[in-house]
Amino acid sequence: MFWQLQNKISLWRFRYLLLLLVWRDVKSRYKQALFGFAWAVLTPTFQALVFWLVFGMVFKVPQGKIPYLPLVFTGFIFWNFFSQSVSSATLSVTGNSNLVTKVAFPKEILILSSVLSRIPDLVASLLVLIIIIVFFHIGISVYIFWVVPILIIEMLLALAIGMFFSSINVYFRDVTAIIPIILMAWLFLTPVLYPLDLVPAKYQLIAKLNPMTGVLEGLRRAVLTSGPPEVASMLITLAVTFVLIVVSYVLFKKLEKGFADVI
Amino acid sequence: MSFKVAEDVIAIDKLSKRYKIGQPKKLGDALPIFLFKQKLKGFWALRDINLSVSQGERLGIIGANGSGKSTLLKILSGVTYPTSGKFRIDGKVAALLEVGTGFHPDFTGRENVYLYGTILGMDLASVRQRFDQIVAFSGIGKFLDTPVKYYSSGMYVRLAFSVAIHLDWDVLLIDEVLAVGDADFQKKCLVKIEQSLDHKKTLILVSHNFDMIRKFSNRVLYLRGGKVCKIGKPNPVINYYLKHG
Repeated sequence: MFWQLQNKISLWRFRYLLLLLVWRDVKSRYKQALFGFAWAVLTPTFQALVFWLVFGMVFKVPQGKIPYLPLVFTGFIFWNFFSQSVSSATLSVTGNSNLVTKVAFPKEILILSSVLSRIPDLVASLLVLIIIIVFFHIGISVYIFWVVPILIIEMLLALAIGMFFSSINVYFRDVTAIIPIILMAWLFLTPVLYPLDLVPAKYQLIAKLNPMTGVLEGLRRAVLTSGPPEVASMLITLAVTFVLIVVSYVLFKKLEKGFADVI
Repeated sequence: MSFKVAEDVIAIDKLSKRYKIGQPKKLGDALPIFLFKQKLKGFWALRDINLSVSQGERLGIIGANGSGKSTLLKILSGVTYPTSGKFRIDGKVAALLEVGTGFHPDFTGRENVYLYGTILGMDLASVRQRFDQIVAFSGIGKFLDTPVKYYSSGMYVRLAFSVAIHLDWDVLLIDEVLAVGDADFQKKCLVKIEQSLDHKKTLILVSHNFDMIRKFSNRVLYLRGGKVCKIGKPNPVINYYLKHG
């Protein structure tokens, strides 16, 4: 139908726009702050301190094989990456309405840039994590490289959820209000602040259907317990992620045709 | 139309665009529409447009407000989609619809040149290559490294236009944008556009300014109520519009 146009408005042609949007997001996030990019490191540092104070000193959580702080902090920073990506992606189409209504470009670039622009924050958090790991004498092995593929899965997952909600948000702004609730519920249903073993046996399967469970457990194994991810759980996560990506992309592309008209 | 297919840069076939009025923005408003199959009111911004534009042609589009001129350009540029019908454009399309969209206020002029260039679909290398020309054309000079939020609106538009005008294009779509900026700068832009026009480049210009239409177009399309009312040589169509429009 749009036989020629379709080729021209391709993602590849706009790769530089993606690059500059990411740069714009990252830069404007820290530009006005007194400490600038230092906040990217300060924030996770203070978060780690809070975890340590509350759960180490006040509540005295019983310690398992892995001390509570590295266990929770690892889950926490990778969850944060996901959750912040999803929330900014959800608002990215409506938040760039001036671009959407006036320039022709593939709108999934907005979602992609929302996710990619969270990477510097994640890297800063990882620096803090490394300090914690060293502090708790946890060894690092070659399994650490599993972080890369699992992180890619996590980003695909964030893209899928982001495409899904951002496109609906153009039509119904209710999504803007709902998304923090969804993310909070999802946080508690995912072993972020607790280890997966704590989930009762009869709920284990349901917990593993949650793709974020596989992602976080895989990342924890790679970083903390020096092991490869559990195959079954990783396969479930991969399958669910794949389905979500396909469904969300089809929905996004369908709804995208109306973005400029209804936004 | 009996143009030879190979020469048509733009072919538009029974193109229509219908806008819905009162699209619900809240789930609560959408529910009755969904449940009781209420039909949303709408209006046809464009109705059954058929048009061929051949390479090197300069088409002026005139018509009253709301006649569908801007909608047509928005569809051709790919910002919005037709409700029915189809169209084809060959070659690189550049659209000067609303200049300066996507400038980031906190960023400097320099940074925004790159940002805006990529928004318009340029690659970084070509922005870099034309950077000096762009800046010289804009006359921004020493404010290049000042955040654009401190720019006057004139400076802002001049910089944006300078980026846009240095794009590579085979088909250029212009929608009234030349009405911005001061007279000198407008003139400069027109000269620049004129210079880049050759027998291979195609121009589509929407304007209320008949002098400009006469100057730039060799064919004029008069849109009325979303339909093609008249198309032909500039003067007869403009005169018809002035008499009957």
